[in-house]
Amino acid sequence: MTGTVRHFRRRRLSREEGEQYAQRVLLTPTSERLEKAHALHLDDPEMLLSLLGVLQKVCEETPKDALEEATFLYRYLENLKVRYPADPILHDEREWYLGEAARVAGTAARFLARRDEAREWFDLSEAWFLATENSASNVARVTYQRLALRTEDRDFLGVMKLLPHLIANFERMSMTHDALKGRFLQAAILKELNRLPEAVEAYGEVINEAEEIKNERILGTAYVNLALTHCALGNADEAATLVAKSTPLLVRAKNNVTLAKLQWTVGFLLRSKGNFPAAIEAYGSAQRQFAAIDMHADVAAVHLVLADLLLDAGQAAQAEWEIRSAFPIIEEYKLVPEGVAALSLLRESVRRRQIDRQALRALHGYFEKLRG
Amino acid sequence: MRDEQIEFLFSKTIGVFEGAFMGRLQLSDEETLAFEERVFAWFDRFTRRPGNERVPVVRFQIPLLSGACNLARDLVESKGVTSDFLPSDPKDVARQLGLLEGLEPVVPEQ
Repeated sequence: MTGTVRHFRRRRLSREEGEQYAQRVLLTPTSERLEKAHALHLDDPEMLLSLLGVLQKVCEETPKDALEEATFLYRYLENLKVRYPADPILHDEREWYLGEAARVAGTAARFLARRDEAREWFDLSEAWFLATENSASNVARVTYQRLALRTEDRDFLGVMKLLPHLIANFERMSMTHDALKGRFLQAAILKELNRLPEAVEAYGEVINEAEEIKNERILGTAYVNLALTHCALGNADEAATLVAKSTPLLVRAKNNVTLAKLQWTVGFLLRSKGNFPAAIEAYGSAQRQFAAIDMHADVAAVHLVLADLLLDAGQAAQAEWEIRSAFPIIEEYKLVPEGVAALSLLRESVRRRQIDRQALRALHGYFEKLRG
Repeated sequence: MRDEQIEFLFSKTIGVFEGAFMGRLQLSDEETLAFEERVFAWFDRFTRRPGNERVPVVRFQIPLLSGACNLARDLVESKGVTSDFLPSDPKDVARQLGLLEGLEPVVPEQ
C-alpha cells in the first residue's frame, strides 16, 4: 500500500459548463441531434453525466419535456457502440447512463400519471443498473420510484410494509438524502391514511432533517404537504405560515410541479376560511399551472374539487361544467380504477342534471389521495 | 475536500491493486500511466453519479477495485493476453487483496 497521494489530471466539466453544454443539446431539435452528436459531445461521458443531472431537474419543471428528452437519450445510448480503448466511455458507464435515463423517463411518466409507461421504464432501469458497480444503491433508487408509484396506485399498506427496509438500506449505504425521501413518502402515506397527527409529526421530522442536511428540494415539498395536512386538521394559521416558507424555495428550484400543488393548497386554505371567490381563483390558478406542464390527472382533480366548491357557492351550472370537463381526462388516462362506482354514479347524476354530491366527493377524494 | 478524499482513496487502492496484479498485465511504463489515468477518470465520474455524490468516498473502495479489474481486463484482452487471473466478483478482488475479512460459505447450486 502506498503512503503517497497521487494527483491525476481531472477531465471534468464544472457544474456551469456541464449545464451550458447540456442546454446546447436540449436546444437542438431531436431530428438534428444524431447528425450533430459528435459536435454536441453526446458521446462524451462528462457531457452525459451533466445532461442526466439537468434532465432530473427538468422533471420537476416540465415532466413532459423530461420524458421526451430521456427517451431520446435512452434510444441514442442503446445504439451506441463503445470500443475499447478508442472511446472515452469506460467500464459500466454505458449501462449506468442507460439505467439513469430510464429512471428519469419513468419518474417523468409517473408525474404525468402515465403509470404503465412508468412501470416499463423502471423495469428497464433496474435491468441496466444490475450490470453496474454498486448496483445495490442504483437499484434502491429505482425501488423508491416504484414505491412512489405504488403509493399513487393507493397501495398504502403494501408500501408501508416495504418502506422501512428501503430506508434501512439507504442508511446502510450512507445515502442520507435518499433515506430522507423514503421518510417523506412514509409521512405522505400517513396523511392519506387519515392518521393526521402522526403525519404532522412525521413531516416535522422530515423538515428538521432536510434543514440539517440542506436539502431544499425536499424541504420545499415537505412544507407544502405539511400545510395541506394542517388544512385538513383545521389549523389555517400554521398552514399559511408553511405556504409562505415554501414559496421562495420552490421558485428558486423552478419546481413547477410542487408550485402548482402549492396553489392547490392555497385554494384549500382559503376555502377552509370560507373565502370562496378567492379559493375558486386559487384552484383555477393551480389548474392552469398543472395544464401548462401536462399534468392531466391533476387538472381533472381540480375540476372535481372546483365543482364541489361551486356547489357550496350555489353555482350548480358552473359545477356541472367542471365535472363534464373532467370526464374525458379521467377516461383517457384511465384514472381512479378504484373509483369506478363513484364515477358511474356521478356521470349518471350529471346526465339527470342533479349532481350526486357523495359520488363527487368520493371521486375527488381518490384524486386528492393520489396527490400525496 | 471531497476531491482530496477521492485522490487519497484512489492512491491507496491503486497501489494495492498494482502490487497484486500489475506484474501480470505486462504493461510498459507509458501503458501503466495511461491505465491509471483511465481508472481515475472512471472513478472520478463514478463518485459524481446521482446517488453517489454525497456518499462518503471511503465507501467506494470495493467498486474502485472492481472497476480497476474490469478496465485491466479490457486492456489485456485488447492486447491478446489472457485475463483469467483477474477476479470478476468485486468481493473476490477485495478478499484476494486482504481488504475484506473472512470467506463466505459456498452454497452448491440446487
